[in-house]
Amino acid sequence: MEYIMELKNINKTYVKNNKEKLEAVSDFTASFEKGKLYTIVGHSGAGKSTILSIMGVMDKPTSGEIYLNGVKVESLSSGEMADLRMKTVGFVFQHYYLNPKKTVADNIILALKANPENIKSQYREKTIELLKKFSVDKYADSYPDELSGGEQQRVCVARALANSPDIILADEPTGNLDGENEKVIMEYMKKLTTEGKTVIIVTHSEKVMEYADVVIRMENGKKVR
Amino acid sequence: MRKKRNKGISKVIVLMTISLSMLMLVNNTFEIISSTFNGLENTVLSRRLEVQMDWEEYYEIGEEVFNKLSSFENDHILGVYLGGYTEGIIDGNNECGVTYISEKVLEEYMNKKNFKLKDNEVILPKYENVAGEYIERKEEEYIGKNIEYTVYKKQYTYESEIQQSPTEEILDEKVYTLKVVGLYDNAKSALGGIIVSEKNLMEMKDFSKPGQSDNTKVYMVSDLTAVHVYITIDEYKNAEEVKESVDTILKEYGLDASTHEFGATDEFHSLRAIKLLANIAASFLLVCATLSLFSYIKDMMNRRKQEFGIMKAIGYKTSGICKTLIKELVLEIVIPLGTAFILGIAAVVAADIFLKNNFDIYEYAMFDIKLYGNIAALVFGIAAGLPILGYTLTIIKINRLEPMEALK
Repeated sequence: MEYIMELKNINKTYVKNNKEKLEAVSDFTASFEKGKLYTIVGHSGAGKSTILSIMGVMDKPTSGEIYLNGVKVESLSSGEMADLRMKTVGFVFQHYYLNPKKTVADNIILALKANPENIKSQYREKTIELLKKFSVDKYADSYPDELSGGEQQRVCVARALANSPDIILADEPTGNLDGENEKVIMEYMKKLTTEGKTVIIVTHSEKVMEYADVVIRMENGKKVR
Repeated sequence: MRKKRNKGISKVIVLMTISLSMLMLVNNTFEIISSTFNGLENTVLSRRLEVQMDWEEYYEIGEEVFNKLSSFENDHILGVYLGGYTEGIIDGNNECGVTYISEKVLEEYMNKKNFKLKDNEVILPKYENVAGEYIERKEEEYIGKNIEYTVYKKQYTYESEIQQSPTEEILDEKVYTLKVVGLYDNAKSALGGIIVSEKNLMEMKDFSKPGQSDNTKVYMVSDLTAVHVYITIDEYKNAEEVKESVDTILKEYGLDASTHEFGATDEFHSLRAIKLLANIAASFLLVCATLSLFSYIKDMMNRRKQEFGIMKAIGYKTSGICKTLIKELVLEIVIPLGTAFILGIAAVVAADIFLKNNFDIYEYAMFDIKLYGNIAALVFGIAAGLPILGYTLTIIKINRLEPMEALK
């Protein structure tokens, strides 16, 4: 079986005021296959977002091993990690985190610029292509706050795909959306798996879980199922 | 829209800082030009702190003191002025006196004007004092023409203690015919009367009493009732040193010297005070604007923490974010302020050259444009340095952040 990502015995402990220790993730082991949609569910404080950050190489585990496309992450320098993150992982956030001072197109271009392999003259064309895929191309020259929540989230998904990553990590991507928009976003997410992408979503929503191929439950920082 | 608004605010703040810096610079330049145009004499007299001696005796003692001081060797003494009620050879009655200018000052002036006097030649002041007003002489009316000077020897006497103006009696008079070869700026007349050729000078000296020093070449011939002697010195800082030396001479006559700023009118003092306040206000505003700019940048960077978090999340390396920030810093801060800095310095240098070429008095001006230029440069430096520091600190801070931390 080919895994796009493997996490082995991941622990993450936060130390408060140099004394109090908070174990956010404890002995988390999981493997993720290509082309599947995973949801990580659990109560608030269960460690879902922490494990998602660790998967996306945005946060370092206290101990444990992470393999992304067969590469052991801990052995990489911060520059190599940034490269790996850019090429392998795309992020979708609950609060979108689109730069309000840039147009929709410029937000996508910002992601394209991060990859030196992208050709400058093709930025715009590639951006429009991505936006078209999520039916928001007509907003290319608008600013994010001129778009609805659902539209912003679609832009966010488009941005996550800018550098053709193998894995999409989404932290409560539908948390701010109504039922209709939640459905639209999840259908897009599901569609991505048909293109061979692995989608991992942290969620509270039962409806989102319905789209999952695999549901991972967490409690008190531990994987329970 | 927001993008435009934010960029606009940033530019307004940067431009405000530059404008205020320029305001200060222009204000100082204006100050110098204004003093040069409007207060030449006062400026000179104020610049050259004088040692003043007052007495109520008649001219004999003043003349003696004057002669002694005129021949007194001190590198800091530029001139000695014997003031009182007098009869000038050019302007008739006035309250001038006899002036001695040191060889050093005179030579410097003559060289600058390229004046080489022959016998029977004279250099007149460009302006003459008539009824307290300055009227410009027309050069063509005077240069190359002969002018007759009548030198009077008068005796002024007070017949009673309550008499306010002395009674005058002409004891003798002599007419000189001199050819006008040049005109000099009236500011120099603050130092004395006409400049005559050596031969005429000797003749005049023979005729009149005051100012008969061997070094005396600038001479206003008249009798006078002396009421004060001023010693014009090169710099304020040398006043005490000169005073100490002069005191030894004055003690012989039982006189005390006092130092004071002479000649500055109330209006001049007010003007100077207003300008000083304007400078303080401009500097204060400039500092406030600069601090606002600094805090704005700091605040902007804190607000942009999330933006940098996103950049890190989408794969930007630390160096990539730094590059973006440095590009921004150069375009929005360094280039505008650098340009303003160069323009400011160019303005100072240009004003300096212009004033130097057009106003002999400029070198004696109360305000030193180069000093103010340096202050302006320093202010520009601070104005540019603070935002650069703000950016640098923010870059260091942001680089230490983990992407998730930045996004929180």
